[in-house]
Amino acid sequence: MRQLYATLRHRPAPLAGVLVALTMTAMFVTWALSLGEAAGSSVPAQRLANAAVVVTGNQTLAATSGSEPPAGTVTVPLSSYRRVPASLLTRLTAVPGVRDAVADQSVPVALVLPDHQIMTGTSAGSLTGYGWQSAVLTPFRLQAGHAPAGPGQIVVGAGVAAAAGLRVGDRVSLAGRPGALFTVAGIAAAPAGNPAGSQAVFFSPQQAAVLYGHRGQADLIGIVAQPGTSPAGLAARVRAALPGQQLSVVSGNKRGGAENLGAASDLSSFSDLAVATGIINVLVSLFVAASTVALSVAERTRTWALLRAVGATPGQVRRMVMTELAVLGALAGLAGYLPGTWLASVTVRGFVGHQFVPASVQSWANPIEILPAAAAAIVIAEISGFLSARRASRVRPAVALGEAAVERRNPGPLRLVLGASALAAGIGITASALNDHGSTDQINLASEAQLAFLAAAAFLVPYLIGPAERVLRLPLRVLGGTPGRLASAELRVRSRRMGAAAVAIALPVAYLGGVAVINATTAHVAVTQSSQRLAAAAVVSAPGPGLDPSVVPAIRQQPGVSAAVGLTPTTVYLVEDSYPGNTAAEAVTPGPLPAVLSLAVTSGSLQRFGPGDIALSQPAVAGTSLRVGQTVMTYLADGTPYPAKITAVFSRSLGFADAVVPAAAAGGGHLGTSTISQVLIGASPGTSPATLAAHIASLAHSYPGLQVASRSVVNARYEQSASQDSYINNLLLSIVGLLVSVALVNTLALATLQRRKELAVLKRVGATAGQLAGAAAWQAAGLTLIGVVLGIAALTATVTTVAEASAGSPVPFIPWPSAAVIVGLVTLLTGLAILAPTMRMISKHKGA
Amino acid sequence: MRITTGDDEQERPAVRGPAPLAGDAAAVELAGVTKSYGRGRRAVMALDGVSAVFAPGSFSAVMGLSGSGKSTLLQMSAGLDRPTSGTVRLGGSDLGGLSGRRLSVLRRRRVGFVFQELNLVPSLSVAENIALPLRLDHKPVDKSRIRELAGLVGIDGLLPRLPHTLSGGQQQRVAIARALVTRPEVIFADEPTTALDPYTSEAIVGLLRRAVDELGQTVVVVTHDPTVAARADHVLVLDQGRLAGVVSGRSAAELTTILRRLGEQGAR
Repeated sequence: MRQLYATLRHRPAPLAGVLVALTMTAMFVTWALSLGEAAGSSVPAQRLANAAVVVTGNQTLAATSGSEPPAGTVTVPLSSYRRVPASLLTRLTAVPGVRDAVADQSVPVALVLPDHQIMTGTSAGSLTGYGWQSAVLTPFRLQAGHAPAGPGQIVVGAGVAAAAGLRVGDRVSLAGRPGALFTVAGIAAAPAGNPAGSQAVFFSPQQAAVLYGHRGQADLIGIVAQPGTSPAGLAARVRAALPGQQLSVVSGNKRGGAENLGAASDLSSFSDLAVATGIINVLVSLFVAASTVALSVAERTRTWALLRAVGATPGQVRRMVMTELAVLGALAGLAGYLPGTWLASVTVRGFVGHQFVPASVQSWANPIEILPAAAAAIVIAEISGFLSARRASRVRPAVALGEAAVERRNPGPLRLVLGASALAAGIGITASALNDHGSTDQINLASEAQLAFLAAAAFLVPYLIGPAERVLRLPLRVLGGTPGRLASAELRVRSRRMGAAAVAIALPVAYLGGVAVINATTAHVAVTQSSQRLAAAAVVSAPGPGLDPSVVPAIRQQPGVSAAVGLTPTTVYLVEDSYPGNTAAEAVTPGPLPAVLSLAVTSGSLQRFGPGDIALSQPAVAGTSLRVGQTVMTYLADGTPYPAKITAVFSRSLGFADAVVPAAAAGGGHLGTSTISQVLIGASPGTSPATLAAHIASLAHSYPGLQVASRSVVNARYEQSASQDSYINNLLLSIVGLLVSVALVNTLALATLQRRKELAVLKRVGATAGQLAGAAAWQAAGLTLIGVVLGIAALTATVTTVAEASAGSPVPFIPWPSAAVIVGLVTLLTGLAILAPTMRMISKHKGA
Repeated sequence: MRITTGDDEQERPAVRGPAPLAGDAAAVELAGVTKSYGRGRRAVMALDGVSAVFAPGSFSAVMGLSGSGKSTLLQMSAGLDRPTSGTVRLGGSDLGGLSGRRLSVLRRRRVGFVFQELNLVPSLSVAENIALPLRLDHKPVDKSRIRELAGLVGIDGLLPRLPHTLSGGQQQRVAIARALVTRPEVIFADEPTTALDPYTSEAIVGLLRRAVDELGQTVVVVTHDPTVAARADHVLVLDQGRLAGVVSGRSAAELTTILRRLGEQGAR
């Protein structure tokens, strides 16, 4: 049997199509695997590289489930530091092997440079300020000047200095903070390749403590070891020296997680993304491979019949098909490896560039990945070829004696059953998605529903082609003349092949169209809600980490200001059903909230909002038993417990937050950051926007970098930024778009090449090249129409679900330009895929 | 239905009836074979109670007009399809009781095939096409035997070529070589010469004749070409699914007349 498929290379076209489809599969499996590997890599300690042991607070949040057994504990990572007492230093310096124990305090800063430019960070990350005591943890070494000797002095990292053009003696100030200028006393360099050098600035220890704001506390304690001490041993001794404390002592690889708190969750959402996209891509590849394999097997019906006539058993024919597919799968695995790893490294670089993942994440080309990629391609090839192989083996040998010109009329009952179940599944998922209002779940369910609908479309399409053709028959005949008639006949008679083609067209329409519509709808709703939400007359902000809290009373004292409320984005862990859910929240300073924010409160009231209160969004409470008046257990960003009474539920939460807490919650200082990112200002009656702006702008002297924008400007800016698609969406869209486009061209070209004999007959009978091309063009048009309609049908349920979820109305917001681009692209590819092979076949067989 | 020739009023009795000859098991034996397609009103009766015997070592032709059921008869005999009723025995084995798989095995070991066209697997070379039944049966392929057969049918030197590079006549020769490779009990040929010119047809039929005379094969040829049928030992004439009669020793011209008479009778 080896000879059989080895020499099948002589009829390359259908097998090439299968190979392309399988290679795409292997490519995406490799891509997903590479990303998964990258995501699983541990983040090394960089700024803390010289700290052999790092002591932090317990950076997880544990919630025990309720009274019913089994009582389990769920732990959730905290995204802010649960601070440690600096008094631990005395205990730690006494531990043998400890050379230095340092209380590390970090303050996000933005520098106002001598030329009044504001620098918030470099490509390595945002600027952070530390006390000079932390310099030894990297270690930083002074390149020029000296350490900060007093409160007005600052040492900048070499990378920061280079990027900002700073030299010793320059004067800088901190954006958003009132106070003095700082003089650059020195420049310090981190070890080569360590990005900390481009992110860090150092204050004197006392100044850092003042900026840090939490007296007697630190984010973490870094311990520098005596030379020759083993980190693991030191860690054990340190742990022993701190008995009974809720502390975490780490060394080695685990320090990276202590240094960069977001890394773990970034990486885990990165790997979730990779898995989800990988699964979707694999399923799409399955569709595509199945139809290409079916086409290539069906093209050789004569051969199978001949083999059966000459005495091959059905089992032998099946094995021939399967072996052929296995070989192709293996080849595909090899072929897809390099493109897959290339794509993965591009993806990772993009994610790092946009700071979705830490810069240390890299994707390597690991040749071992060829094996799972090839295995996946083989498995997919076998699965998709299974039904085709059965069909090939069941070919009646008597067929070899005749001409199998027309396909079996009725698709088997298996197809109907599968199609009906897929349709039912899709409807079921959609119904349950409409009920469940937790927004992330809903999106996942929506994409599962879309897959189910696409599967249903793929299975049921042969039944649909018939009625579709009947509808198109008259227009094709009238508009297309004889070529139109030929096209119509082809659609009618070759329903299976046309069905496969229609599905190949529907796939990109449904997928890309669905994503485009969902994005546009969500963005549209977010913009609408945002402008409705903003009741304030003006908004004050500053670049970088934001403004010092003292700005709020300062603004309130300005003439023309009737209300000023500061907002700080933070995280709150809402315990519902024993699970501490990570909830995006805004912390507000005291003030008349309804005067500046119109949150569309549906129950309760925000009139008197203060410590001990919490307001939740509709999506946050939907599906739970939380109601206004109840007390709910929550934890603030640094893990401090905050039991709060629900005073209001609001609905305008998209683009805002799902919870509102007072900034002074649990005594204040537990928000993970101490700066205010925005101040919303209500104007006194009779104050013009221009006057208001002028009064507030005068504060810019004390708060460098302060900016004030009127409501209309803010709304306009939001609309503009929302309309720019996010990088992730673009990247994933491009990848899937690539996959389905190649699939489209592949399937259609294959189907077209099978018409070789018919074209020959038509030419002999006297059809001109123009007529044949015209027939192909009309066929392309008909197929495009059917495919687009099918695709739209498949995405409708998904899109309306998501629209209902985000906007409360099932009517989606259709981005006509994107829709036109997608339909245009699909039409172009379809036309190309059908016409190019046709033209080639026409001209090749001239005079045959 | 009796067969008469135009100028000879004597009726010749059928030389062969359903009884086997001289104690040898018949190569192929059909008894009351009926094949109908479709159901009810749309039923088409391709064969209607046909009984026939093909003796071993004989060259038989099955002749008739288009639609007479010749191809269906061949399909039944070779086990390519199952009759609606009646029995088919091949080399003594009753085909009715065999599963699809067993039929396949039987076909590759005991039956050789030559079709009208598209005989060969396009992606295999001539040598591989000839060896195909042996490979399907997992039997070792003796290269010298392939060469011997190639020489016998007159295609020496074409062994490494691909089918689409050969002429129609050459392809048929390859098909015959393949049919001979397993030394089958019966070789069935369905209209093997219809697509060929008279000179090449003559050569192909000659090959089949040699297979019978020199190699002792049994050959059954389905054809509507009287010149081919004339080379056979016996001609079974089919008319509208029924056996009209068995004749032998007729010339091509006589056979042509028989056919024409059948056609005229049918038209009336």
